[in-house]
Amino acid sequence: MVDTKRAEGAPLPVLGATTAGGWGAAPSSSLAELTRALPDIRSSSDPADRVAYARDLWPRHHLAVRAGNVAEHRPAGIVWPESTEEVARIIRWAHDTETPVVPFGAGSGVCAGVLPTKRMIVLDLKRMARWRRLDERARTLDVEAGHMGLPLEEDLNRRGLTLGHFPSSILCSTVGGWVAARSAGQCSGKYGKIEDMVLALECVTGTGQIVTLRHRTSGPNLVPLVVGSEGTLAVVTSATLRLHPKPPRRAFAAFSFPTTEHGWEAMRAMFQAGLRPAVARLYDPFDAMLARRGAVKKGGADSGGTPGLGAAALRNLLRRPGAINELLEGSFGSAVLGGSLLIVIFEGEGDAPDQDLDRARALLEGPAMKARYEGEGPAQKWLLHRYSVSYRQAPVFAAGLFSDTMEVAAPWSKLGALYDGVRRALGAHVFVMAHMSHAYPDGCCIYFSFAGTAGSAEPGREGWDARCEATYDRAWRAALAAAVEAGGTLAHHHGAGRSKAPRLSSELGDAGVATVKALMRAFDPKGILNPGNLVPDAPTPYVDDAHPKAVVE
Amino acid sequence: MSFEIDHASLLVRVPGAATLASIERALASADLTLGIDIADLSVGDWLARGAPGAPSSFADPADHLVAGLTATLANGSATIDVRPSPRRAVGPDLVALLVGCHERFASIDHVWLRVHPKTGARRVALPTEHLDLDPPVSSEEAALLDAIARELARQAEHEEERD
Ligand SMILES: Cc1cc2nc3c(=O)[nH]c(=O)nc-3n(C[C@H](O)[C@H](O)[C@H](O)COP(=O)(O)OP(=O)(O)OC[C@H]3O[C@@H](n4cnc5c(N)ncnc54)[C@H](O)[C@@H]3O)c2cc1C
Repeated sequence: MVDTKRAEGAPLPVLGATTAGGWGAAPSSSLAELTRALPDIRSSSDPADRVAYARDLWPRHHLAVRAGNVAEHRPAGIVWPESTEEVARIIRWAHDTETPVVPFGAGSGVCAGVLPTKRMIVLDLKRMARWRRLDERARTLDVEAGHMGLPLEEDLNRRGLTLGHFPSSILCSTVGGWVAARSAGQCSGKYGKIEDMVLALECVTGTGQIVTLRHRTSGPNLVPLVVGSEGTLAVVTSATLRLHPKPPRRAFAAFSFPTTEHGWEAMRAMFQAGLRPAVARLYDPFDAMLARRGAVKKGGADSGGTPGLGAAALRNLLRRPGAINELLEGSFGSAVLGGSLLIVIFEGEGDAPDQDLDRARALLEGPAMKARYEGEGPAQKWLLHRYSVSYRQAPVFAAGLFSDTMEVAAPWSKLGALYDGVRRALGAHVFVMAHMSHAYPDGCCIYFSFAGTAGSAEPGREGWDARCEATYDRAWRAALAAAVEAGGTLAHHHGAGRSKAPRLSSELGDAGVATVKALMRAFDPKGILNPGNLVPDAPTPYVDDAHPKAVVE
Repeated sequence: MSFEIDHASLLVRVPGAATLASIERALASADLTLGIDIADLSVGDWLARGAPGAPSSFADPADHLVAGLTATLANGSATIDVRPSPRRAVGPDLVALLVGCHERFASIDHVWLRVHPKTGARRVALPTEHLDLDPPVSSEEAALLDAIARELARQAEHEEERD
């Protein structure tokens, strides 16, 4: 029903080009029809707006941009509803006309959850950013889905409250995006992930019906179905979130360990003993070396410096990622780099944080754990620069390289296999480092960061950017397969989007995928909500090998 | 009935038909406990009723009761397999089709549950008394639940046709 693909071999349209077909074609009549039907709702088909809404922050898009394909996936237009009723009218119209719609928060998703087609309308929620009800007694807030992260937290702080959700993207993401992608924040150890904060969701389903779903402990609970549904089941228009008192006191500590494994055993011990540090971040030896030097943290969000080694040298170095990874990974690398580093922050009222830290120290500094106390400094420094590191991708891409991150999770018993398997799989193609920043009593998330460059030329992929894309695709393919093989999950908090959807069957099985599709039909019978997302067999314009037999229009 | 204890992860894999009391007995020999008031129920029935007596996930947001499960769809046509993981972000959480749903959509074959050391570990309990954690099911929610049941049945018919 819905167009989701570019004709095979068709030229990639570039910014400003007018083409008669393909992803970047001039807007279809869908937005014009919408504005005729709903003239009072703010909308645009302005070329600049269509370019701005043509993608999210999937790093694969950055490669396309660098290659000159700035806005391959321009939608027909954008609408900015200001109320739930307006969202419902838009969706009812889309349902009647079978027009695809993609909900849009701030576009900071990193998995191609937003990948418009020329008929698609982007529904930007950001004009819906009001507080609806603050219940100070129950400590809950009903807030509209388009509210940006940082101002929400700051406003809560002024009232002595916190949501406790601090994704590194807090400056560029919305409440609705957090809910839709199952986001995790830096303080998940104490406050949980976003799914642990949602008490109710107001949504508009694919028929345009407004429903309120409530968390329920002893009956059916539809909230966890919409949380993480990445725009495919309903448009989230508001969320009732659980709040906490803003912690008046924090206790900081850092510990080093001979190896990363020693470090995660320490995290396991803390969480299984019932300790809940708001922040527990373990860096592998290379990542730890950067953190100790402050190289990752010092520059600040917008420091535009190129990587220290110089672009050309770095490109050359990264052509042999296997050798570097092997060198740094072994005990030699660990010794030279100074081992792994664990940062811990407890927060709360009175002397509770200090008492918790004392308990943690007693546990970690015993003979079994091999922890060496490194003082408060590294943890305090981390807190000061907590959002800086994520915004340093641009210089990497400008240097002709690419970088990305992959967040997987597993029970503790499988963590070693997951760490080794994914690291080896990625390490054959790209330079890789890792940290662990979301721990639970039963397991942990591993967050791999990687950087790579162009591999050798292959037929159809001769240019520099095409060769980078080839390396990028190979690395991801191998890493996702390794994650599943090791018993891990494909994604812990970034969602699956279109980038991982082709591999969903390997984790959920065919029956799991069929069940997700049944849910999509139940919520959205005509399949107008973000079609192609979270569906393994949807045609994809990028991941070439995903569906060799996909029919291309 | 065989129970598989993952000591490192503090998880136990049990058949849906196992009673809570039998699980608790097996765990006791490993100095572990489910940490709940034991009712005279099979674990499948208990979860289908919404796990009465288990602490709310809002009491300790880092800790979830169910880490994974396998379940058979209501008409027996297919098995859903949610592998154990502390958290995941791969679409809707299918565990929600089981817990509190009275076997309307599927029934549990096996489940991975969180267990606790009998001694030494502290239980986290953030205040939840002012949160409304058991509101009535609204008519809109009921209609969506009906639609889910319908679509799962259609999916099951489709699977049967394919077989
Ligand atoms: C620098 C950087 C750092 C990051 N750090 C983190 C981190 O620490 N933790 C983390 O979890 N993520 C992180 N991310 C990923 C990203 O920020 C999250 O996925 C975030 O939740 C997306 O929010 P958004 O508002 O930008 O959503 P978008 O990118 O606009 O949308 C994401 C998906 O949700 C859907 N969607 C958006 N709004 C709605 C709605 N109202 N109703 C229904 N569906 C909707 C979209 O269709 C899309 O599929 C990071 C990203 C970047 C670029």
